[in-house]
Order: sequence, then C-alpha cells, then structure tokens
Amino acid sequence: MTAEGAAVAGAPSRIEGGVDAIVVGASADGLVAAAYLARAGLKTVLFENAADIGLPVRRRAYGGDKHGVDAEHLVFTLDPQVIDDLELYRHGVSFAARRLDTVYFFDDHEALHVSGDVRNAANDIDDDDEAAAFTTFLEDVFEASSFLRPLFSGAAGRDFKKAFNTASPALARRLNWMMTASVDDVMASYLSEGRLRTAMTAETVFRTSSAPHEAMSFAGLLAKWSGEVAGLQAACGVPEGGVTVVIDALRRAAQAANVDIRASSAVRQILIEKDRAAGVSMEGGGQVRAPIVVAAGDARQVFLSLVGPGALDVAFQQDVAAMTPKTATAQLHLALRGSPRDEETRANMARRLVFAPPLEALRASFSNARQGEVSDGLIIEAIFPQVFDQEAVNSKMQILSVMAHPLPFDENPEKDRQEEIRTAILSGLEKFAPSISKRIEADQLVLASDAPAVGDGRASAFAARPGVVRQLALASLCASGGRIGGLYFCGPESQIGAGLNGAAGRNAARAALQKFTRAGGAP
Amino acid sequence: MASAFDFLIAGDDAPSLIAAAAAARAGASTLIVAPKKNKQIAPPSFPDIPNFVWRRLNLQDHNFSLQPVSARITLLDDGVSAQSFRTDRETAETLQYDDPDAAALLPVFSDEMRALGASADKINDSNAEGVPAALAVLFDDDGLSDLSDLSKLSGAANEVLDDYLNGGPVSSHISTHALSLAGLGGEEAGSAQIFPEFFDDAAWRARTAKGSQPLMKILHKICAESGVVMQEGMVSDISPEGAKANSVSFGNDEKIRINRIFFASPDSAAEAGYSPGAARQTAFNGASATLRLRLRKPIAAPAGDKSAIFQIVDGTCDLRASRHAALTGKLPEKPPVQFEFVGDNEIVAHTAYIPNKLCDEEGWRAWTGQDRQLLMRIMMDRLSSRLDDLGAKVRKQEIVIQTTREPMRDVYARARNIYMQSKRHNAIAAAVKLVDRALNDG
Repeated sequence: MTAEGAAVAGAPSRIEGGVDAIVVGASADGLVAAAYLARAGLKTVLFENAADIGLPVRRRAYGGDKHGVDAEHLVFTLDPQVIDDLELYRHGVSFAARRLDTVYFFDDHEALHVSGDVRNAANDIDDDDEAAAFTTFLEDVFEASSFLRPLFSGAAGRDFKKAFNTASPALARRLNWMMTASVDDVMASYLSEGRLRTAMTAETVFRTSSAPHEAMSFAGLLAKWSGEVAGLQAACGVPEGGVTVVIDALRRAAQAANVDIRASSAVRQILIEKDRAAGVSMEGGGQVRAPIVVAAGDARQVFLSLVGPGALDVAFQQDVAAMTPKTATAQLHLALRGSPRDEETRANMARRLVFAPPLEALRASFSNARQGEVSDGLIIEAIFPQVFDQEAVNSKMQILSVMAHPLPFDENPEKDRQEEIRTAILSGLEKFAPSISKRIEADQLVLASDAPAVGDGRASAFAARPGVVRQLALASLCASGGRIGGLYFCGPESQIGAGLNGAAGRNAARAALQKFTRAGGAP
Repeated sequence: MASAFDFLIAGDDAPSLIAAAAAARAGASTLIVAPKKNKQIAPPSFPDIPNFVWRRLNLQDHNFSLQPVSARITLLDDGVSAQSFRTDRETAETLQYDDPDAAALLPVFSDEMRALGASADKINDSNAEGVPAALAVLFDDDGLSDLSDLSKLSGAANEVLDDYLNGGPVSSHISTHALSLAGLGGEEAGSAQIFPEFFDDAAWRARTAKGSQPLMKILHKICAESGVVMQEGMVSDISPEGAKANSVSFGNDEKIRINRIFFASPDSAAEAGYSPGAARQTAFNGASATLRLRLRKPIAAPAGDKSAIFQIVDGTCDLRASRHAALTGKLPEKPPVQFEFVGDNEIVAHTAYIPNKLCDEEGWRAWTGQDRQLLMRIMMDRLSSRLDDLGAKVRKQEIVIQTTREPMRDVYARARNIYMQSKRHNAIAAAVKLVDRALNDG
C-alpha cells in the first residue's frame, strides 16, 4: 500500500476525489482492466484486499522445498491482444515451453502421444482411417473455434453478428450444431470408439461443469481451442518462472501505466447514486469517488455484497444467486524423492500428461461430483514444472503438479473429504505412474475452497463454471453491471472457460472507456 | 415413386404422420420413410391434438374424438401421492388443503415457465443457418431479459424448480412427470428447457375416446388422401445436392432429391440413423422399455382413477440414480415407471431410464434375452410396490426395448434444411408448427 493510499483508506469520513476510475480486486483481469484504463490517460486506482497482488495464482512453496507450484500450471488461453497491448513480453513474460506435447494415458495402460502443434496432431495417429477422421475433426473444430473467438473473448458485437450471418451455410450449420450439441454426439460423428475419442472427450470436459453426454457440452472444446499461446491456436505453454510471472508482468504493466495500486485496502461497498456507480467506501472508513468502477471479484460478492440487492433488478439477483458451482477441480502438489538423471527422462517429463478415464467412468464422476461424492474416474492433468526451470535442474526432489476433475464443490471440506480426494487423485496417478505414491516426500492439496480462504472471498479458479452457453449468458448479464451506469464487471464469471485469460479485463476497460469518451469525460 | 420430394419425414409415429399430412395439405410433395418394425407396444395415450391441428387435418370428418387423461398422478414412497390436473386452477384447488404453499407457487411456476416457451423454441432451432437463435441475444444491445431466459433455460431443471418449490411431494411430482419423458435426472445442463413445453396446454395427454376410430388408422388414411408417399426403409446417407437440396439414400442404389428433411422426434431420428444430439437439451442418450401386462382379472387403480397417467418413484433421487445407471451401462435398481390402464384387463408401463448398451466386466455389449427378463422383473417389482396383488393377477407379460443407433458421421456439415424436434411433451402441436416454419423457410 502506498503511504498516500494508507492515509486515505484509514481516514474516517474522508472523501478522496480526482479519480477517474476505480478497479476493485487485483486479479489478473483486475490488473488488465486497470492497465488499459490508465494507459488511456484515466487516473486509475486499484484496490486489493490482500497484501499480495495476484494471490490466487501466486507460486506457493511447500514441503520445505523452494520450488512450489502455481495455482495455474499451464497457460492455454492468455489473450493475445492483452499480450500485445500491455507489452507483456517487455514486462517479463517469456515461455519456457510452447506447444507442449500431450501424452494421454488410458485405463488399459496404453498411451497416445499427441503433438503440441495440434494442427498436425493427426500425424501421430498410426491408423490411416483414424488419422483421416481426426484430421477432419481438427479442421472443423479449429475453423469453428477460430470463428467463435470474438464470442468467447467477449468482443462479439454487431460486426460479429454480421460475419455470422454471412458465413457459408455449411459453416453456419456446423457452428450452430457444435455450440449446442453434446461431446458424445460430436465425437461420435467424427471419431470411432477408441482411445482418441476418449482422449478428446477428456480434453473437452476437463475443468468444465458439463458432462460429456449433456447438451451444449462440446462448446467447451471450442472455447478452449479458441485461445492461443504465442500465436498457435489450441497450444499450451509454460511461462518461464511459472504462471505467476504473467501476474507479475501484468502488475508491472499496470504500474508502468501509472495505476495507483493499493494493497491491503478492502472495499466495503460500491457506492450507487441515482442508478450510477459513484465510487467506493472503504472498510477502514472514507470514500474514494470516481465515475467508473470496475469490479473484478466474483459476481455474488460484487453484486450481492458490494453493490447490494437494493440496487439490483430482482431477476438479475436471481441469476447471480444461481451461480453456485456444483463441481470443481482440485490440485495436488507432490514433492517426489529422486530426480531425473538423463536427458531422455527429462525430455519425457517435459510434456503434459493426461489420464483420460473410460467414458462411462467419466459420466459417473460428473454425476457423483454433483451429488457430493468423489469418484476414481477422474481426468488427471500433470506436469513437472521443474523441468522447465533451469534453476531447479539439480534439485534433489521432483515437483509434480497435478490437477484432477470433476470433483464435488465443497465450501468447507472436512479432513476426511480432503483425504478422500487426495486418495482418488493418487489412485488416478498410479494408473499411469505406478508406485509413485511410494516416492512422495511431501504433498499439498489445493481445493476450490482454499482460494476464498486466502483470496478475499474471490471465487476460486478451481470452481467449475456452468456450461459455455450459460456462461455466455451470465457473462453478458454481469458485464452489463446489473444495468448500473458506470459499473463494469470483469470477475471470473465474465470469462468463458478456465485458466488465465485477461480478455474480460480488457473488455470491461474498453466498455468503460467508450462510455467515458462518449460522455465527454476523456482527459 | 417420384425421384424428388419437398419433404422427407423420417418415422411413422403420430407426430410424424400428422406433420406429413400437414405438409402435404400445404402443397408440399411428401415422403414418409420408416423402418420395418418388430413388435411394438404403444401406450394408449398421446400428446393432445390442439384445435388448429384438428382444423388443418379435418379430423372431425373422420369419426374421431378424444378423451383427455383425467390426471397426472405420482405414487411416491410410503403411500404418499401427488397429482395435478389439466388446468392450474383445478390443481391449485386440490392442493390447497394438503400443501397450501405449493398451491400458491405452482401456478406461478407454470405461468413463468410457459412464458419462456418462445425462448426455448429458439434454442431448439436445429436448422438455423445464421447466428444460432439461442445466442442471438448475446449480440443485442437490449437483450437483458432474453439473456436471463437463456441463463435459466441452459441451466439444470432441478435448480429452476428449487427456485419455486422447496422440495416435497409436489416438486417430486412435477420433476418426475416432466423429466421422465427423456430419461433425464434433472441435473443436466439445459434440462430446464423441458418445463416450458411441459406446461403447454398441448402437452396434456389424451386417448382416443370410446367409439372413435383409432388415431393411427385415421392418420394413415389422411396421409394417403393427401398424397403422402410411404416407403419402408431407413435413411443411410444424406449429402447436399445443388444449392438447397439434399440427396438421400436408403442403403441401396436408390437416391432421392429432398428439399427438407424432418424428424418429429429424436426417436425417429435415431431410427433413421441421424444423431439425436441435434435435439439439444433433451438429447436422449438411452433406450426405453415398454411392458405390457395382460391381467386375469381387473385390478383396482390407485386413487380409483383408471383414466389417469401414473408415475412410480420413491423420490427425485430415483431419477438421478436411474439416469446415472443408464449412462454407465447398468440397469437401474428403481427406475421411474410410468403406467396406464388399457380397459380393465391391461396395463402398459414404460421407462426411459435404461441404457442403450450394457456395460459389464467384458466391456460394452448389446441387450440379451436375460437382460430383458431382468428388466421386466425390475419393472414388475416397481409396479407391484404400488398395485396390490399385481403378481397374482398377471396372465401374460411382454417387454419391448427400443434402442437407438450410432449417428451418421459428419452429416450436420453436409446436409441442408434438416428439422428435428427434441423429445417433447407437446410433440404433435410442435411438429405442425415446425412444419409451418420449414415451409416458411422456403
């Protein structure tokens, strides 16, 4: 917190003016929004309750080892526009690995290697017919996801509608179908039963709340593959130094744009006057007034607590209240005894490892998770972050970061439940890494409920979002700020799909700047 | 037979025949293609036929009359039951003594769901070639109420219902009757879309009245009089021909040029090899079973009402558990079972909570005679739990399992003007409306 910020936040009844825009919450999207607003010349103040910026994805140390793991261990959909506009490469982002290959493991102990350059992934398939079918599948899905990118990044407007209406009939039909069909139906239309279908199904529903047999579930893959890392659609990358480096770069970009970042400053209320946002009041007393407020917390917290139901339409309140997750992802960090001694092993570890459970087990897992039960048919995604960290080459321990999905969303999981989840994840790992449990030196389980505990009531990145179509509707509703003038929203509900993205922050800032400029308020 | 038609209607159930007759009477050359069927058992009731369909087909000229079912009744555990009637007023009047809260809230719920009907129809539009109608509201400047509708309708049925009714027998009753049509558990994304059409007036079921000619016989006659061509067979491939038409083949060398392909339900689509996935929210991933019991002597109907439609379920957990079992290739322990009386000596029972294929230690496999026997026993157990002394009164029982085929590959990207309805409670009214839309699409 700056000295000036502390003085203002701590001074009862004091009003601070002269601010053009306030951003509430220093999440990645909050930082992005603040950076865009400040770069446009607006005097921008960003308030963060926690002492640390970017806490939800901050690298954590555990087990006495200095090499911890970020809450997000891969980057899939970091918005390329944000990378360019905010000059994130200049501010420290670089990739230790791009186009990370994926090895899918199956219940029958077989494995399938898929190139990180997904466009050429069909080359890895031995069977000619299957390779041809996979090529058609990839071409069609990439075409659809590229087309829909503006929709998923929240930038779809009238131009996009026009483009849609002038798309070729075949593409339009496919877009319509793929947005609303189930994973099972789309997969069955392209791929014969077998490992490839199982792998692609797991890829689609990983970290979503939609089971593969449910309508609109295929859109999950369209959203995931509409992103890109360093210009390569559908690729995933490992930032040099971990995903937290992206957060640090965003913070630097915001600071370089003269954003006044005030950590340890909790906002008590977003002030609404005559149906317009007028600023914020602080927990410690005092107000900061501004015509633009961008909220980056979760929708329930922002609208039901900070804004308050009194200022909201009843139907909108119901929509926001309905945003309670039922399923979630969990992360297990493992410190394993021993380290790779040869280059070949290191090369094999420099991949994304995914266990794809049989389809019936996966369906059961979704159903069980919604009933609050833990299954062993989990999708497991694992990476060895140290392999990408030159400083950690000689470490005596290997760090393994594992994400598992779908699991029940628990607000207050008891110890037994935590142990049950840990056991299920280890059981999944054992299916493709036998005896790994015997090498565990230390471990740390991170559940969806842990983020609110450390991150100021912020919705956990591990809570599965609703299906894509519902997410789009909810995101648009939230982006409208509950129809309160001057209030913009870039919380997790405004992002389509899981992972670090940044487009929601960019869109919120863009919408705010358009209104601000139109109102003649541009400095 | 002609080599080109305006309409191909796949399937020959009542909604398909009515759609075909409506299309033909509007001047479209129409072909019905339906596979040769093995033994079938048809439930005696069908979705109501609204007045505009009567007039369109002149049903009144065919010695035809309808008798609406008297009530929907759910037989819950421990002798508890819940029922609803054709009008909200009748239902509320019955409920107001036992459950005044539900009596007040149910009409509100049904009204609000009916109001969502137009939005639900948009989401079900399987033939949109521009912006998906379901998503169009995302690009409108002032589409907030539509967005709210989209949010509700793309959510789970249980969540929507819980917003209005806080559990209890009435909630279980509505869930069971609405969701069991498509074998849904209520937790699926988009399953909330079942409610708007469930509360539609045309979703109430009816039977052919005493003295009336059977509906199917009349429909076949009307189709023939209207010039509808009927052919036995199955669609084996659909590919585009020219700018707007399709070339449809039937597993032999024969190919027919078709302008519009119409499926009145996911079942008829699945029979024709077309993925029911296009049926959006109520995509039906399982199979269904119909059990016919012929009785030695009459049996007393629950609530003394033989003209009602009954559902047997212990609670909504049965819906979820049975859906779960069906999706994982297992037979459910307690499937929700719907049944109706046919005269005094017959009961027809139905469940949509069974797997398309079964899964055991050896992997996935087709149904066997043993599986059918086991399912018959499970359904009999469910029926016997609510109907006293049923086992002793059954003279003969037979079961038919209807499974679905794997979809044709990549047909969506190739075929044109394909219209498909989801599994709907108001299937007949919706089929005719969809035919009208198809005709208006040119």
